[in-house]
Parts: sequence; C-alpha cells; structure tokens
Amino acid sequence: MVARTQHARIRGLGAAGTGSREYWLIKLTSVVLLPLTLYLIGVLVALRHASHAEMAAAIASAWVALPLFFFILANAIHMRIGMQNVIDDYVHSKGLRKISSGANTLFSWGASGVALYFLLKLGIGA
Amino acid sequence: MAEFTLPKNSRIKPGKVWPKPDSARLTEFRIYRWNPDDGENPSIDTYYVDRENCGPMILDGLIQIKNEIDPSLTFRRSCREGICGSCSMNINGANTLACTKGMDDVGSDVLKIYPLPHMSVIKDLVPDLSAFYGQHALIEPYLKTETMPPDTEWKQSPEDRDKLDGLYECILCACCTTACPSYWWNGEKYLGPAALLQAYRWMIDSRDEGLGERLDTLEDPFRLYRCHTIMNCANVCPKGLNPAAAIIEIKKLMQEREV
Repeated sequence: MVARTQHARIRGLGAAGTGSREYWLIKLTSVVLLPLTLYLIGVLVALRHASHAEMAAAIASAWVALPLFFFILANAIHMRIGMQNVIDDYVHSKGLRKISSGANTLFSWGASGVALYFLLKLGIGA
Repeated sequence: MAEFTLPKNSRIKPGKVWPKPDSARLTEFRIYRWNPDDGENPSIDTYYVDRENCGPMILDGLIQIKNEIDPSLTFRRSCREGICGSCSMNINGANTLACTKGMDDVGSDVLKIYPLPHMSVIKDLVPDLSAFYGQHALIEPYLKTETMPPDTEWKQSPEDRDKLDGLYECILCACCTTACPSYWWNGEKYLGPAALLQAYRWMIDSRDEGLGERLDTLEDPFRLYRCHTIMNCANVCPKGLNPAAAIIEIKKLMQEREV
C-alpha cells in the first residue's frame, strides 16, 4: 500500500472490525482459569505422594478430568490471545508477524490438542 | 521488531556549555539540541539562567535563554498558562507543560529538557505532531447528527453536561500520547490516549447521534486494543485528566455491543 499523506497513513486499511471479541475472551478465560488453577493445584498437592497408578486413576475420575479438560481449553484460548498481544505490540515486520502469529496459533492449539489427547486416553483408558 | 536503541545519527553527544552569568541564584538547564540543517548528531547544551531576573516557570527560563543567551534555541510556546498545549516537552524524565511547571517544583537543581519522546524531531524541542493530529481527526471530534438541527441550540441537561467533565478539558498537548509505551511501539496504528479520550468525549455527548459509527472506527486490535492500562497517560497529564479511564469506558461500550 502506498500512503501519500499523513492522514492516509493514519487511516491505513481502515478498522479491522475485530478486537472486542478477543478482549472479552481473554477476560472471560482469566476469570475461568483462576478457580480452575487453584483447584488443580489443590489436586496436585493432594496427590503429591500418589503412585503412578493412583495418579492415573485420579485423573481419570470426572472430578479431575473435567476441570482439567476445561483448564486446557481455557488455557489454549488465553495463551493464544495473550501471546498475540505481545506479537502485536513488539513484532512490526509484516512477514515475521505473519509467521509468529501462525506459529502462536498452531502452538496453542497443538499443545492443547496433545494435552487433551492424553487426558482422553487416561480418562477412557484406551 | 521494536527498536530499543537509538540509530547512530540520533545518539546524543555533549554540546556547548554557555558561560555562567554573575548571579547568586542560578538554575542549570541542560537542553536537547538538534538542527536538521547542519548534519550533526543531537547534543545537550548547558545554560545557566539567572533566577533574579526570571519568572518562576520553566518556560520563563527557556524564554530568557532564547532572548538573552542563545536565540537559536527553538521551542513552541504561546499562551504561557496551560491552555494552548504548545510548550509540552519532557522535563527531568516526565512529559509536562513548561509553562505550568515551576523550576522549583522539579526537585532538582538541574533541569534536563528533551522534546516529547519517541516522535520525529523537527528542531530542538519541537516534535513533529502531524500523526498525532491525524489521529485526532480520525475520531471525528465534532457533533454528528442526523436529526434536523433545532431552531435554537442543541439542548443538554446539566446531568448530561456533567458527563463531559474530565474529558472536554484536554488541550491536545500530546504529553499523554507520547508517554505511552504502546504508542511508542505502534504509533501509526494505535490512536493513543489523547485521541481515544477525545473519542469518548464525543461518544458520551448526549447530543451526538454517531455512537455506533464511532465504535466501528475503533473496532480494531490496534486502534483501541493496544491500550494495556499502563497509566503513564494519567500520570503525566498536566490537566489532571485520566485517558486510561476513558479508554476503559470505550472498551465497556464495545463489550455492551458485542456480548
């Protein structure tokens, strides 16, 4: 894009029409993650002396598996938007921005996908 | 990536130390100097202002330097009473108006004066504010109406008028915007605290009919959502305003519309 005047540069490509939904999601996931994180820390503390089998059995129970499922999901959303904010703030080269934004999305959902897979494996016992 | 160091031709070198006048009461001014015509790097010149023959404000000192010591020193000034916003500059690390800041209020015997940070410099203490004004124009700082204008003025209740307090006083000095790290990193895309405070001033004006369009203009990850409530804007505003609070109110309006 060639911007010939200061006003043209400020107006750029116009408003993207996004932002509010992600702002809402990051706030919502913050609130959701707070009790979930505390609960799961409590579970970890309670299971600190557990054997591998006891740990697997605990994670397979609905009382741990469901909070863990929502924790992983909320974390993926929160992590992706949070890191996107850092990228938007500090990465200014167009190419690098695209690469890092893509990598951020892939990593957030990829890592969460792997975590959910193993959670399901433990829960279902496959 | 964001740049954290100055380019070679912007690195500041020691400058001229002007002679001390014969006076028992002197204040030292160390002032950023840069002339686009000489091809040199910026420098810091040192001046000594005779307080016996000078007003109490920092702008008084700058005017005395220009009138009596070095006429080449360049800075903006006009009203000398905190209304025009022309003499905004960075004094001992904080953006403020030179006309309303007393030499004795800085808490140091040495005054270090720089142009507003992170802006292109035109000369000495004069920054290029054309982008800042462009961002102000973008938010359309005027009443937008579709209804036929009334025969007399647009009426407003005292309660609705009160909502503009803390917003309409902005003098567009750019102290807040140039103190904002988000603006430093994304100055061409993020509108900055001053423009957003002005945007909110028109959004909550009971006479305005353009709220939806105004929100549309700001619905963007950069224009509005680069604000991370760092609060530098509120800390430096020489009029005591709180742009960060206004930005939060805009985000609330966005949420009201979105969720």
